[in-house]
Amino acid sequence: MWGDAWRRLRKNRVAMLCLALVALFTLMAVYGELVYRYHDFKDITPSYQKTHLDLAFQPPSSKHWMGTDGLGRDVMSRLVQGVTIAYKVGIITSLIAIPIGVFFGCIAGFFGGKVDDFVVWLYSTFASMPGLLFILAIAMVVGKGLLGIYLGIGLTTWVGICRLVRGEVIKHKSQTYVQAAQALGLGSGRIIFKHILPNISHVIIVTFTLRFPAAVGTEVFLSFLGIGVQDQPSWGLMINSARMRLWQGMWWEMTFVTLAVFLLVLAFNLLGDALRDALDPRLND
Amino acid sequence: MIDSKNIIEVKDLRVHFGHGDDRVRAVDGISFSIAHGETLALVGESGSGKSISALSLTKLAPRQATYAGGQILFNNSNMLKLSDRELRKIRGSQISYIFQEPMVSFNPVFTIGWQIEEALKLHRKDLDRKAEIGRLLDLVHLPDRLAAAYPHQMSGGQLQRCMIAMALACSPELLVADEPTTALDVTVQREILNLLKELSEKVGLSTLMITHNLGIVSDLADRVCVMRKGRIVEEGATRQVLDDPQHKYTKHLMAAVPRLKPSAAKKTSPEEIDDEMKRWMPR
Repeated sequence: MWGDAWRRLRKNRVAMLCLALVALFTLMAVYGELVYRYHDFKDITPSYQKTHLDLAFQPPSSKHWMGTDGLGRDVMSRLVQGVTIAYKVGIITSLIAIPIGVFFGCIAGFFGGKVDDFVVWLYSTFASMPGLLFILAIAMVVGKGLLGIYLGIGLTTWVGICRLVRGEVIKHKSQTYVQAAQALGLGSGRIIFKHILPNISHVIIVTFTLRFPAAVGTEVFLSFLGIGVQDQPSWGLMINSARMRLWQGMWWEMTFVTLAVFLLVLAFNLLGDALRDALDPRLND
Repeated sequence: MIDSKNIIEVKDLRVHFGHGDDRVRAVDGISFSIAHGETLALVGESGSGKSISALSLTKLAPRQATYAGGQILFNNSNMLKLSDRELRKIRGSQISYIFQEPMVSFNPVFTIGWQIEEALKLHRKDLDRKAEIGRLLDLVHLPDRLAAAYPHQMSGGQLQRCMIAMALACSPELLVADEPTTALDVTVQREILNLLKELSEKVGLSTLMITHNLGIVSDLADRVCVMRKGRIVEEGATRQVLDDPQHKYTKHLMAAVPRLKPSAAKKTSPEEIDDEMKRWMPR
């Protein structure tokens, strides 16, 4: 099945371009994390944190490809660190939100009745709270920084996945193949997670590829507001600092950071779409 | 106690949907039994309660259904009283099903082989599964390379053969075939029926055949129960019922069978049919 999907995906040029972009971003994220860990381990200030006031606001040149910011730090190396943080936020929040949403969606859709009532009540309660307030509340409890962002975004965004999965499971459980599985004597757990779940995996993959850039966007926004990342070079912080000088013609920091956000979001969205088409054996052959 | 010559005995089974005045008596006190190696056909129009009766044998009827009364005796236990866990052990291993529409009865994202393996994994643990899958496909006259095929790559007839292979995977004692040929075209129907006949002789299966096609009944069944509105209106040996139907509804069913040469059929005037409809479906 995966071999077939890969063969179909390879035919799609846009998807391959997006895959290359995602791979590039992933490499940057891994590199950024290694650099960060290295400096953390050696207990020295990394170059992207050192201030050189005499080098402030240098336009892009052969030495600093993306110029320098107001404290003379290289924009490109800070941008790479930004990728690391974006990836961490995207992956960890998805790892929190998707299992919760999928689990509750599956049991609610399959068992119906009281279980369904409880899950619907639960996600309606979560959905009725303004997301930003919820994140702020969590940030107040666990303190500002990445942990608050992980928990805040992760615990609020499972609602959408849960609704989608619940609907899909309800649709699938009335199909004959589920009845056939029951007639074979399979238990409910195995039917839900082994037979129905693979049928709705495209929903989960697409949700992930939409969730990921959305989480990155939320993180950028929160850091921009000052309740997110504190001392690391997050894209939100960079945009915040760049906006002050934009009208004076210091275009490079803003341009490159927003371009990075744009490319990341676009690549993930297009790749998600192509993956869904490739993974669904019924769509083409 | 169950009669030793019978594999299953259904006594006064009642399955209802809804409550109070809205209650629908889908199955309204039916009794039948199937002897070892026998094929019983349950015949009737759509909505007469055939499928619900068949699904009720292992309590597979939709969740909204309530089992309002009766007994289903299988292996000296009453199926209606068993726990879910005990029922799951019986489903697939001792009583297995073939459904009406093979095209949607398979999980679209798994290969046929994987799905047959699921049944084997569950009920027969110590076994060379690859070889067994090959043997099963061979039994239904399919090449074993089809084990690697997905359901959408196969035809309806091939899928119904796979369905039969899957149903036979754990050598059940009773096979319930719920309109196994309705969704297939006539030539494929013939093949599937021949296959079922061959297998029931080879393996010595007892079969409950649900159908509204009297042609199938005369070919395959040893005995027939005619159902209408949740009740059995006539029961007997196949030849006896088909040659000399006692109940008017059975005659009505037989008159409804399309024939190639209309002259051979008993001519019924529209007025007579109207009369019969009034008698049998009073408004």
